[in-house]
Amino acid sequence: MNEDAYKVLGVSRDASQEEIKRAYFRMVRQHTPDSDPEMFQEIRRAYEALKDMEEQKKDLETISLEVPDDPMGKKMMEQILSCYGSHDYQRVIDTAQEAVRYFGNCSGFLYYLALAQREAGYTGKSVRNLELLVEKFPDEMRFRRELAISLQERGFGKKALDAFETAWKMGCRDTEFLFLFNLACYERRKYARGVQILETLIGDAGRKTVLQPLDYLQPYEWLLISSASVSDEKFRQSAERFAQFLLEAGGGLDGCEEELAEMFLPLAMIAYGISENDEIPEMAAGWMKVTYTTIREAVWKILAAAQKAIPDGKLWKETQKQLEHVFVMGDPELSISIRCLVDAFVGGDEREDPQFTRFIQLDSMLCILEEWPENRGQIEILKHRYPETYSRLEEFVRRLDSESTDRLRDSMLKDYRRLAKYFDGYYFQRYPERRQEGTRQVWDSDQEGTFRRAEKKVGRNDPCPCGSGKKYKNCCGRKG
Amino acid sequence: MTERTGVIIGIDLGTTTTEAAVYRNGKVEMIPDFDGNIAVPSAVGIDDRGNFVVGAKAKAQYVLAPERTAIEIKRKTGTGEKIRLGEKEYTPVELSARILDYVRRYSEAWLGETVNRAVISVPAYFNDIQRRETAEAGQLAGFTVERIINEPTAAALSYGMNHLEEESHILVYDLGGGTFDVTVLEMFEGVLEVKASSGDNRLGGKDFDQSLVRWLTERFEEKNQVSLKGDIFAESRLKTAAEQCKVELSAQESAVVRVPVLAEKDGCPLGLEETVTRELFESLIAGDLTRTRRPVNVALSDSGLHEGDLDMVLLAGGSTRIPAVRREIRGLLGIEPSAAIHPDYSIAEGAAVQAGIIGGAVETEKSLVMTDVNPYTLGVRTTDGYSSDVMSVIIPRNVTIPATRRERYYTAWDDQDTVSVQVYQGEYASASRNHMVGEFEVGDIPLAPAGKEEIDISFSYNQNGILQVSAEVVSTGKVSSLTIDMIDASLPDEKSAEEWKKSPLAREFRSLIRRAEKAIRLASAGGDGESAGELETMLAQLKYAVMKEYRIRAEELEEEIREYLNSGEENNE
Repeated sequence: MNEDAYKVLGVSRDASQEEIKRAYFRMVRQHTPDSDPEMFQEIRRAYEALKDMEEQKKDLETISLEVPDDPMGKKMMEQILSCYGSHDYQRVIDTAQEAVRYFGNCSGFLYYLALAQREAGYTGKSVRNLELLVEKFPDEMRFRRELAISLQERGFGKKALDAFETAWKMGCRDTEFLFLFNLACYERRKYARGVQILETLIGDAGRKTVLQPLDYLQPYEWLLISSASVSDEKFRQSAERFAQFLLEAGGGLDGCEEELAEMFLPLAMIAYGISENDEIPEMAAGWMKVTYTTIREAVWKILAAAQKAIPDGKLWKETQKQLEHVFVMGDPELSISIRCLVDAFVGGDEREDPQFTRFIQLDSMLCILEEWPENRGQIEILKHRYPETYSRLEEFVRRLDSESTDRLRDSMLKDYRRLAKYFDGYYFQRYPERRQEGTRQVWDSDQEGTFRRAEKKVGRNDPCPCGSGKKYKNCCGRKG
Repeated sequence: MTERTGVIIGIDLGTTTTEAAVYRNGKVEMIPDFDGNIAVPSAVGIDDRGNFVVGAKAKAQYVLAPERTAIEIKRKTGTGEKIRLGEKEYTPVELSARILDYVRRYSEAWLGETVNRAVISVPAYFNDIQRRETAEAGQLAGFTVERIINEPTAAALSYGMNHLEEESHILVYDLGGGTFDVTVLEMFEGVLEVKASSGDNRLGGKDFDQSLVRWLTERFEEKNQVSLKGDIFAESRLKTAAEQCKVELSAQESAVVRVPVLAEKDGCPLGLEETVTRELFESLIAGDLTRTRRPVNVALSDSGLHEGDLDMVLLAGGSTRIPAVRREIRGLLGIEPSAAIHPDYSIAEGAAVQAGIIGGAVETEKSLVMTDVNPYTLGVRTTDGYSSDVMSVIIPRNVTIPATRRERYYTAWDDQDTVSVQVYQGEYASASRNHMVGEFEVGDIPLAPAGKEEIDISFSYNQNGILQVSAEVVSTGKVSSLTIDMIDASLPDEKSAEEWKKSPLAREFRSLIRRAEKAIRLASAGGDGESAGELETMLAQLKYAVMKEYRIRAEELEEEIREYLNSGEENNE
């Protein structure tokens, strides 16, 4: 393949980079992309292949890999490099194994053999070969780096973490290394160390290699999640830093809207988990060191920054709505009744049966009515903290304020009692009138905010449970 | 539709101004409009008699009638937003088309021949939808769009044309009215190679104006205790005044902003008069200027170059006249920006050079060869076991085109005998959020367990925007393929013709469409195939215009069809 590349460009095998470049440009002038696209592509491919090989050769020199001083060995090395460049790892393995059999444990072959083995999924073999190299050259940082990564991929967490630390001490700081180092830290629950590593990645390494803003999102996501397990203060700092980053990146974030929007829900779920802390093992074990309020405030701050960075984003409104829902559900300052009220109104989008939605809305409203007006303060919290959610409830709150409680209750009870007949036996029965019947009250913790039916759903074509003899869809199930 | 012969012009469709140029007699000439202006304001308005006005006239009426004048249309391209002019709403595409139509008319007058082919420039950082919409606008204005060229590349072309022998690394710093683009190129042996591009789609002179407007508004509101919020008249006046002030500050140390009547308080007119120093202006735009740094660094690092390797910084776009911008460049790159090209005209000139190369007007020995990169990611939809909506990339962004890439895919379930190849373009990870450009099916795959059968999909993409997709079942050697023209907007076909009913414009045109359909039925029943055919063509165009929400075009066609129908009825009587 390489021979072809030299032939295509019409240069000799020992041509310098300068000569290759000159040849390439001269060829392009003859075979322009417009006049001869086929030939142009071939020239381009050849040029790129040779350029990649030069890069690899340079790499070889910087870590002074041994290559046997033998034409056969050199040729094998060249083949390894070119296959490695075109991601043909199986061929690299085959060639390198043969070379090792022929020339012994020569570091150049061993190194590429180990890298290719890792890429092809033979992580165990890769670890063994790299251990050989590290033993032979204990001071070579690159070998330590690769060993750490291979160990991590193999799943030797503790050993990998030690190897990462060693390579770090020797000065290894590239982006990929740091990111994997962070993963190793996270898996071994060394959160504070992980945060340190990520801060290095985002700060120093970032400036040196200038990543695209998109490449930062993942490190930042990890930074936030790891910080949540370090301390409240650290989480706040990290969130602040991320918000600042978003504002600075501005238009550079075009096209990452989706990725950015997807970062929010996991954070909100941490907040929810903290307030309901016996449901999720990480919370129960006390690994989360951040408080609910800190997360909520941080998430709003980041969302505001994201909205500013991508002002014409189409996902923000939906994200805001989802986040408010999750936050309301976890807000320790809100009573269960208020949370249920919100869920009945906001979470209603997924329920296909309008009658059922109406039923649980009535149920939750009646519960609120029982506690009225002592829970007025709660409604105020809702209004200030969750404006989007509050707007859905505004109508009800207005009625609460303007009408007498008894009248309101009577008007709702009429509807409620009618609907209650059809939904008899549902887990979700909170209103006192029904609670007295000694029914179960289950808050379904696996799927926050959803209520499981105990009985089969009344299908559209089933006879209506009200006894009219008509089909449900033509009777009570008629969509308003 | 249009013949692909004759002269090709180059058009720089900018946020604030639009320019056109042509390559003839061995050099580039800028084309002036009917009033002799080369830089035509990119503004469209409706005058008090209900007619469309474009260019300087529209710009002039912006201060008086902002509610029926549109400026900065380019910023809305690809957003799906509508622009309200008077009573009706228009898409950015058709308003851009109005400007391009104006360009076409004055170019024809100046050149004295039919002009229906063009090369149009767009910011390098424009995404696929924005490019497509720009091309659609060109077609709507009666052009065959020969190529969509990146603005910084055009600027470099206009430079390279006159410096063929040079060997240099060039950075084009294009800060226009609404967008910021950085492109690093290498010129060597008469070949111009784009190395990397970066930019910010929402950064430009208009943001500087906006910063100044915000400051002026705050001062005014504080002084007079009135609110200007929601007052579009005040906004248009302030915008115009701020823009003028910005321009003056590039030449002098301070400028006075004067708006005689800005608002009213208790029946008294309130005016605004403020002195703005250059220092103050620079502090107002400092934040925006910081945002220019990252794209420069990204483009440099992507191209594998360092500051020291650059031989030249070319400036394009009016905003590069601002002294603070030049200072920023010097600080960042350590090079004095070159004055070799005209910041306002170079992009149109470059587009004209490209047009000349395509049309053969540029002599071979003087011809510059340009290699460009793929502006957006191309791929197919695949499943990864968790989701069936994964965008599998075949040709990544920024690869030198023309490019051919091949990827191997496997059947996803046992005894799968067909594979649907859905081609998408766009940067999102989930395919459905990207733009689907084509789809075809590969059948007759031998029955085998999942993952046993291999399908090779290869993409071939060239700089004319033609994408060739072919899929080969490896075991049988059977090949299916599809050719997609990414620039040419799809022509109305059977399927899309019925989509018009969903358009918001459908209500207005429904009765006419029904009437025309009836007339077609009558005509074909009566053996009048000719007029049925003619009507059918017009009707298809109308349905397409309605579907795309091209109000202006639809109204023109409505008029035509109505006339046709009326004359037909008269004949029958």
